[in-house]
This record gives sequence, C-alpha cells and structure tokens, in this order.
Amino acid sequence: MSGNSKKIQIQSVIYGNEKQSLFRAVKGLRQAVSVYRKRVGDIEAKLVYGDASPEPIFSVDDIEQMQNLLDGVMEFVYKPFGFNSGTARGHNMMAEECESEYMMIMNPDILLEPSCLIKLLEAIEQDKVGMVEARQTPLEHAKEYDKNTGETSWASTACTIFTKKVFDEVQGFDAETFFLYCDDLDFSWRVRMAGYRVLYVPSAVVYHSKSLTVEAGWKPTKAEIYYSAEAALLLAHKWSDLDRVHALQEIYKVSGNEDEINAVKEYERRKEEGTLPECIDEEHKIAQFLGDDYCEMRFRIGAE
Amino acid sequence: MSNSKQNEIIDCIQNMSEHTTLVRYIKHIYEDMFFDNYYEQYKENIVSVPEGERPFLTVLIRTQGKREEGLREALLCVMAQTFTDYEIIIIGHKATKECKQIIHEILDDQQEEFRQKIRFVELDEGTRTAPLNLGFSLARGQYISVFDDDDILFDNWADCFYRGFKEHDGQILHSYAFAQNWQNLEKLGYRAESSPKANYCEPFDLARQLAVNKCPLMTLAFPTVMFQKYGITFNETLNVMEDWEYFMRLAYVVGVADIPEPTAIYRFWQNVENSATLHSQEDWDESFAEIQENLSRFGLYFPESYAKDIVKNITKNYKQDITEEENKKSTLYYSKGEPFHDLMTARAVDTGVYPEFNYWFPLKVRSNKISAMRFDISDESLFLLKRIDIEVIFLNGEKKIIPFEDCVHTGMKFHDDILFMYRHPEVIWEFEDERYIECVHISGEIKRFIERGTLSTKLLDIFLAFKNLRKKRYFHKKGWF
Repeated sequence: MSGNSKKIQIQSVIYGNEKQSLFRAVKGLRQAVSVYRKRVGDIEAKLVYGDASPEPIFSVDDIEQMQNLLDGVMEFVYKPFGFNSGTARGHNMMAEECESEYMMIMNPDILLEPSCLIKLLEAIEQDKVGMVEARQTPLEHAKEYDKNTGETSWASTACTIFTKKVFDEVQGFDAETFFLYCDDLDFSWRVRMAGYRVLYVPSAVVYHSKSLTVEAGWKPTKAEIYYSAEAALLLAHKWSDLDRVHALQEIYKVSGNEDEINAVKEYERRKEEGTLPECIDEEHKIAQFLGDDYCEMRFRIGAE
Repeated sequence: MSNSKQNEIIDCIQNMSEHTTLVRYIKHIYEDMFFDNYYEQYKENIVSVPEGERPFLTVLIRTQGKREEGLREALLCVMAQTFTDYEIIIIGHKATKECKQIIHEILDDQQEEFRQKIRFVELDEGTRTAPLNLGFSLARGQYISVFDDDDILFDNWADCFYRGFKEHDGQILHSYAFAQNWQNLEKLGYRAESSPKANYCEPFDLARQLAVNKCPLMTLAFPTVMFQKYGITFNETLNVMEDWEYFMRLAYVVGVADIPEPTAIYRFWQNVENSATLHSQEDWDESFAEIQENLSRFGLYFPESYAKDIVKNITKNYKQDITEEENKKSTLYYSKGEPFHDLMTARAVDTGVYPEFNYWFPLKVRSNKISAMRFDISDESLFLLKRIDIEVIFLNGEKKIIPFEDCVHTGMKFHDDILFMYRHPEVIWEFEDERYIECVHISGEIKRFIERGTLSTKLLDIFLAFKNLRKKRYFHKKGWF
C-alpha cells in the first residue's frame, strides 16, 4: 500500500434511468474502488449524480439507501438539476465543485470490471497523458489505436478518466454547442490540442449494455438520429470542415428523414442567430473527418 | 403430460412388435444412450437439490487460468445479466500453481453477493471434456450452459434461456450468436478486429447440424436432468468437438427449441492458442469420423414439418443445374399496347462473353401490331451499359435498327455510358412497323464496378432515386409499369 492518497470524483448524468440499474452500476463502482484500495493504495472517491430528468429519480429514501450502500467506501452526492441539461452542461455543472485531482465520467448504466479502476489510473499516470478510456463489452468501439501504446484520436465518455487540471485547462465540455453527442469527441480533441495524449486501455473492461439485430445491425432511435445529426453538423463546423457541413446538409435535406431535416433547420437557425461555435483547428492538425467517421476505424458494425 | 396418459402410451408401445421403428428407436435410446460409460464415474457428485433451492441456470466456465483478461471479462458478462437466478461453477482445469493463484485473485475481486454464486473446483486430470462431465455432475440448476473464459455475452443471455424454458421445458434451448475476430495484443490486451457477423443467427436445423456444428456451446442450455438422472454424459475420448457430439446425442432424445435472439459473441482468435491451433488436423479428422460413427448408431426423429423441408432441399439440388443455365438468360417483353406481362415474352441465352452480351430473341407471336418492347438486361444492377445495339429482324429478312436515343431506360447517363443502380435494369422503346417480326437481336457491352457505401455514392443514390422517379412516372403513364 502506498502512502499517497489519490482523490477521484466520479460523475454521471442521469435521465429517467431505472433505479435498479443505477444501484447495480454503483455496486460495481464500489467494488472497483475497494479493489483499488486492497491492491494499490488508498483512494478518496466521490460519486456525483446529476439528475437531468423532468422529475427527480431519487426520493429521500433512495438517497439514504445509496449513501448506506456506499458507506465507508465513497461519498455520494445527488444533484437534481431541475431541467434537461444534456451531458456536456451536466458534467460541467458537476465539475464546478470538484476538488479531486482525477475526474471519471461514466454512463450511469456502465458496470465496471473490478480491476478496471486500477488499470485506468495506472494508464493516466503515464507521461503527458490527459485522458484514458476503458474498453466496452459486449460491443467494442471500433476506433483505431496504436497497438503498442494505446494512443488514439479521442475517448468516449461512456467510461473515461482525465485529470481535473486538463479539464480546467480546456475549460470543460462545450455545453454551448453540444447537447448529447460529440461533446466527448470535441473535448478529447481539445485535450490533444493542449498537448496531451489520449489513451485507450483495452485491459480495463466495462460492460455497456447494447444489442444488435439478428442481421448484426444497429437500430437507432428517433432522438439518436436527431441529436447525432445535429452534433455532426456542429462538430464539423467547429473543427473547420465546412465542406463536410455542406455535404451533410445536402444529405440530410434529401434524406426524407424528419429528424435529419430538423437538425439542418436547427443548424441554419444558429447560423442566422450567430450562435454557431467559433471555428478552430483550421489547419486540421487534430480533428479528422474520414467520410462519416471521426478517426480511422478498424471495422463498421453491420457493414461487413 | 399426465401420468395416466403416459401409462396409456407405455401400454400402447408394449403391445407393438420389437421390429417396429418406434420400439427400436426407444430401445436404442434406452440401451445405448442412457447411463453411458462415464456416468458411473461422475454419479457420486450428483446431489439432490430441493425444488425451491434450485437455481434456474448453472453457468459452467472452463478455465486454465491462462487468460486473466478473458476470465475477468467472462465474469463481468455473467454479472451483467438481467436475469439473476443462476449459479456459476468454474472448473480450473490443469491450472498451474501461478494460474490457480490468478483465478483466486480474480474471484477475490468480485462483489461478495456475486462471489456467493460461484463455486471454484480444481481438476488436474482428463481431456478438455472431463471438466464438462464434472461440471454437469455438480450442477444444481435446472438447466446448464457452458460459457468458456474467452467469449462474450449480451445481458439478455440468461433471461433468454429462462423465457425459452417457460415455453419449451425439457428441450435443449438454442439462442443465437455472432462471430467476431479478435487479437490478444501483447502489451495492451484484447482487441476486436472485425464487426460481429451473424454466422450463428439461424434456427437449429437437425439435418444440417449432422454435418457441421452451427451452435457454439454458449448458445445452448441443456436440461441438467438428462445428465444427472438419465446418465447421458460427454464422451471423454474426444479432444475436440466434444460439445457437438453431446449436443447432437441429446438433441435426438429431447429436441431443440429455438429462441431467435442474439445472446453472445463467439470470438475467433487470430493470434492465440485455442482448440483450433492446439490440435492437429488428424485430431480433428479422427474426432469427426468418430462423431459421425456415433451419431449413425441411432435412428433419427425429425421434428414436425421436416418432411417438407427435406423435399424442398432435394428438389432444389435437382434443379440447380437448370437454374445455372437460367441465370444466363434474359427476357424481351413486347406489347401490342397493353402493359408488359409474362405471356408476351421471348427468352434467350447470352452467347456473348463478359463484358459483351449477345442475345437473339425469337418472337413467339408473329405480329405486325407490336407497339413497344422492353429488354431486361440483367437481374442484377450496379453496372455501366457502355454500348447497346438493337436490331429488329423481319420475316422478309429486312432489318430495322432502333437508335438508343429513341429508348427510355431505368438507368441514368453517366459520362458516355448509362449507369444502372437499382434492380430491374430495363430499356424500353416504342415501335411501329407494318412488317411481321421474326426476331430481335440485341448486343452490347457492360461493365460492373460500382463500389457502394462511400459518401459520394450516397449522394449519388439520393440523386438517382429522384431521377428514377421521374422516369418511372413516364413509364407509368404509358401503362408499362
């Protein structure tokens, strides 16, 4: 056991989640913290839930139950926002009171493998590493990474750790631009722009419930289609790929899909209002737009 | 089934001759399948579990402790199950001292509530089939499924079996799985190398399954009673494909119920030791021969509706040669003003060699009243028509050339060629002539090459959809669609 105690704030934005699945995820987290203490050394951990649901998910009894569950292992803070903050704004709000050196962001339905925290913290302590990401199972993300170092283009906030220093340096997530998707891409790219490396850690495994159809394809929901289309337009705009913005506008307009058409309207509305984000990385040193991908991919789900 | 009904059936069979198929089938199963050689060896492990204390599922994990990341991930997948009435038996098979220590460490890391569900049993002898017999004999669950330490489960896996059990109690339960290529990176860990493919997402087919195993072990849940009470055990002489042989023998007796949901990913390892690399081709060949031999000792009961399928398959094979010839044929439709239909067609075989085509269509109806013709170039799309020459030959030997500019088609202009993106590539032309037609000669050249899925082809798709719509409207007005 080393004498230096680390501090980590773990945060999730919750929205209409089932309590049962939250409790299950928290048990996994509690175990991961306990295993870290047992095998590596002391760690002070705090779990913050930012509730963006129209009505708070947790009652007073639930909060007490959660505190009892985590008693002696980690502190629990529950923050009902009272409005739908989206992920980027939600995480920024929770980060305001963060006093830890490390921040961990995870989807609330993620289940950690007990040794996962050890592996992620070990990775982030390497030189010039600003952000690390766990491997998701049962469906691994297909983005390419260096087979020796794990260095990659961006990290998904399904389960990621970064330092508070880096978070402050890049001024957190861009909540003015992104609501649900691509906020993590944008954040990762800004972390890299600030001179840090982003690492993928395949041996740190987390369970993220997903399913495929029998044809091995995805079934996106309406909200997923709208917000991902909107985010795709805004991300391309912010990272100075206006050709892609135009191509996406054309595709969405003639797609016949109401949600994609609405996403274009929203982009055009912002343009008229002058509320689009400022263009950065004009020389394309960081951001990559390869067709519809944001980095090299090893494969495409359902496409082979 | 009620006891009185069962007695009635037994009485009925007792009065039948021992030469009848039914009696022979039952006798074979009873004498040759039940209480086989290995049962004696394992029966002392079997304990009677009171009904209320029985979990629904026993998850049997074989490990040698060599794949730490795999075992950790396997346990995570089980822990993530939405249905939780299960126990886990981990058999540490021939694990070295260091490996045993790793397994213990992994178990120590688990949540207490989850750890309570796990029994760890060490086994230092036997082939890789021995842990299966040991696990099946120790199981307390009503059903048992084998999930080795290098595969992946979706969280509906156990629930899917439970739902299947509610409908098909007693049968083997079969769900679906994807196949995916993986690598073990020396420095970092496991890495997926391909998208999951739906290789194991098909209903169980008894006849096909006799030739090839399409059901990975974790897609199956076996009724424990068939091992523990009727003594049908795994054949330990087999080093590979032991699961296939057991599954089939049991399928003969209890049948298989499909639950058509993907529940797992079967990993194909590209660079690590597995049963495929550990055993020689001879091992595989020997085991295959032994399995075929064993399965051929018994008669087969084919489930309902199989007769139709078998007939369909046989007929299909018989027709295959004819179909191949058919594929080289194309169709010319001709019309006297009415919409094109199958009675007014001429068929011809392509005598050209790709990229060229060459058809001579003899007209069945010799007429001088033909007002339109349609040539279906191919059944497939995605090709460029580079050249086409259409020539109508009359009974008197005279010819008339149809200029392509006078035709309409379901493709679009693409540089100097015509691009056909969609099914039913067709070329249509109006026709007016007093002479009687003998045949139509159509020749030309095509090129197949379009690569789909890129951004530019996506745009092109959308564009073409609109263009095509306009053309179709025109054809529709003419009554040709």
